Amino acid sequence: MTARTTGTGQPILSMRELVIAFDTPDGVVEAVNGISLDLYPGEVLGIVGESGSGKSQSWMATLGLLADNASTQGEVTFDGHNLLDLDSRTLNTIRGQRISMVFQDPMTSLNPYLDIGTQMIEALGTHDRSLNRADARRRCVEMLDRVAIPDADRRMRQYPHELSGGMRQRVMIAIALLNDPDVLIADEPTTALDVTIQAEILDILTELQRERGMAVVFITHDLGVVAELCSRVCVMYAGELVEVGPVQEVFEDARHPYTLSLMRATPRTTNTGSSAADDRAPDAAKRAALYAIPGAPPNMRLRPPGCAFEPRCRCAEPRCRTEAPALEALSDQPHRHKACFRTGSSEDLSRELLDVG
Amino acid sequence: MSRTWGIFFMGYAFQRFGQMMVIVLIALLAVFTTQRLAPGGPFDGERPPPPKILKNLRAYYDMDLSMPAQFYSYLFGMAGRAIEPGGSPGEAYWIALPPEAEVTTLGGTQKRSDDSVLFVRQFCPWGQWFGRMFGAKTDAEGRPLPTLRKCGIIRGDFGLSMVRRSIYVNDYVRDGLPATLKYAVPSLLFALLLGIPMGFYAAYRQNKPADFVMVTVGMFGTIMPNLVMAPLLVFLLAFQFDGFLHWLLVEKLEWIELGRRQRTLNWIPAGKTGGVMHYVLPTLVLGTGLLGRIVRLSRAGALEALRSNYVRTARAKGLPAHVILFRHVLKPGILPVVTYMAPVTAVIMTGSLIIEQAFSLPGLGRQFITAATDRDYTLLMGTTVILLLAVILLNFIVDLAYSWLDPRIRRAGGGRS
Repeated sequence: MTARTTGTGQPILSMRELVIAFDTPDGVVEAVNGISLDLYPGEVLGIVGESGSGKSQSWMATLGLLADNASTQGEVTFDGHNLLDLDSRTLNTIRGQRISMVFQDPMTSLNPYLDIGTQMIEALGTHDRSLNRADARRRCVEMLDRVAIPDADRRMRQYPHELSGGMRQRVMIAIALLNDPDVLIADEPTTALDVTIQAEILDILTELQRERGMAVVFITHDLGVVAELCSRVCVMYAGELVEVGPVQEVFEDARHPYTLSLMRATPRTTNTGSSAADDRAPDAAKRAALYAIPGAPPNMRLRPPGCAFEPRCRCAEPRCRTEAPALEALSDQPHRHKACFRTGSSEDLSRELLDVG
Repeated sequence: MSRTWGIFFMGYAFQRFGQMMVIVLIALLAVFTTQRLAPGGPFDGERPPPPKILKNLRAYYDMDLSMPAQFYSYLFGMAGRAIEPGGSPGEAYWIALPPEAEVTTLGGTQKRSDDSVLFVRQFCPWGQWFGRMFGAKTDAEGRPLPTLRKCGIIRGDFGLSMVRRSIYVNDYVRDGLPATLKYAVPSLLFALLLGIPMGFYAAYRQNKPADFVMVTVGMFGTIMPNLVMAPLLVFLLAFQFDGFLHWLLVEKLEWIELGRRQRTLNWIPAGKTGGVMHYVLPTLVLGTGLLGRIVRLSRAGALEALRSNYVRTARAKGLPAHVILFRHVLKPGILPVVTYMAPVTAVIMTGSLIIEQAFSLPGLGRQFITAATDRDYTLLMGTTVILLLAVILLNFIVDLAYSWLDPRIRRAGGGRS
């Protein structure tokens, strides 16, 4: 763990009451339910949650990349603009230049019909019309070198199918960083890759983040990666934020039953003492079979009136069924937030979870 | 890219040429066998010819040989066939040998026999054959070229028609093919130039009214048979359109003063030859079917590309919509249309049967049908070969276009050569 700048000063990007709804043949489905969040310059913000918790969609919305049947409410402020209702011309000056994104699936995220060079140079050229082709090309080659792609000059002439998955993801990262963005959104950048490649990609991302001081939003399932990489973490469940705070504090002293359950459901090997998350696991859980949270995430169309996690929560109280808790600062630690009525300490909650399980 | 492309192309073309030969041979064999197995023959009629003439006819067209020998003769021609003189329409194309001549036949070299007059094929140089094949009547010095003689399809001789026995199949093809292409090419261009933008626009405006209109046009074109389209368009455009314009511009709006006259009647090609307006009706009839399919295919292709992850990446780069469309969506979007260009030859041929009947055009499709019903073996074989070559050629071009568009195919095919 290295020291990182935590959220200080003015936020570079802030979401306020962001709601994303999809108009499907079965009716309107709310994928994201009014989340508010600040991203500070230079921080690495981890977003964790199950599939379908809205963690990707909320950031796709930021760049206007939602599917056609999506509608949004609330606002996402960046550089004085509300990104949600910006005209496409202005939005195009922001995306790719000020905010860029690396996607989950490198196998399909590059256009198979165009060579790497074309796909890189266009990312530069569209934001800087005065740039000539030779200069653009040189910068692209430098960037490929930077993400540790050997023989960059030759790679520029190759097509995506001639590159391995790890190589393609490096190219994606290179494209995202070409314009030196203020914010990089990494949407599960290592999910589709095998473990050794994952580590290399993460190293490259960490290194580049440190070098350029940009803010990184790291969307992932992997709590270990969050512990390793991020300075702050947001836990999402069913389109809502359930717990937000500095990584180490959240992992050592989780206050939301969902966060606790998630950490108990993380497989771990005994000799990785470096991760903060590992130390949190109760002894019994270490020996027992891998814990699984009972039940499944709620159907987003039939959302329960109270807390969305209540049907699966072993610490639930009667009022959790009827009232939805808001995301509020902890009474003892005002820089941390959670959305739960239970005020018990981490130990109390985990004891309850364990007893019944 | 160009160097790799060149190497790829050479190997690929070579490989494909071999395949093509095999396909043509198999198709020829199939047509040859099936048509001979079908009941009836080219010399059947209400009044059968006298036995001696029939015998000579059968001898001239090799029909008295075994089937394998007939096929051999069709492919390569056959020297040294002895036929009785007199009564044969093919006689003019054979020459008598001097009595002492040695003749090379399938069975080896033999002396000319005395009891029957021996006829052999007369060969002429390749250059002259080519000249005749492409319709020249004289060579560069103005000397008349010999007519094609019985020398097999391998030398470009499709033989004499078996029903209209003074006409060469080569001449039929030479007259029919341009007549067919004259309407096939404009209708294909019409369908492509209109269909692809329509399909892309529909995909771009998916589920909006514009998309609905395009999909309806596509559906209409696909399901409406040419057989119905032809008389319908003749009725609407050639006969009614002029009256409608007159009613609209003169009587209703009173914009212009003009007399009643059927200006659009000459849109019917048979009405008067030569004008550009002749192309309107056949092109529309043949083109709408193609247009419908092309709209649907390009819409599907564009939709798939628009939904793809790489287009999402392109949007995340901040590229404007027109760059995304032309650089990222165009190539994958037109691939289904390119694929369709191979079977399109068959679609056009069947379609041109209809328009050739409806508009009385002298095309290849009409000859094809006539040949099949008349059991005109040589004409049917000839038109089949031409159609087959057209389909194979288009397939070849489509494959090349495909590998040019999609680098993944280029790699897979070019690796070996």
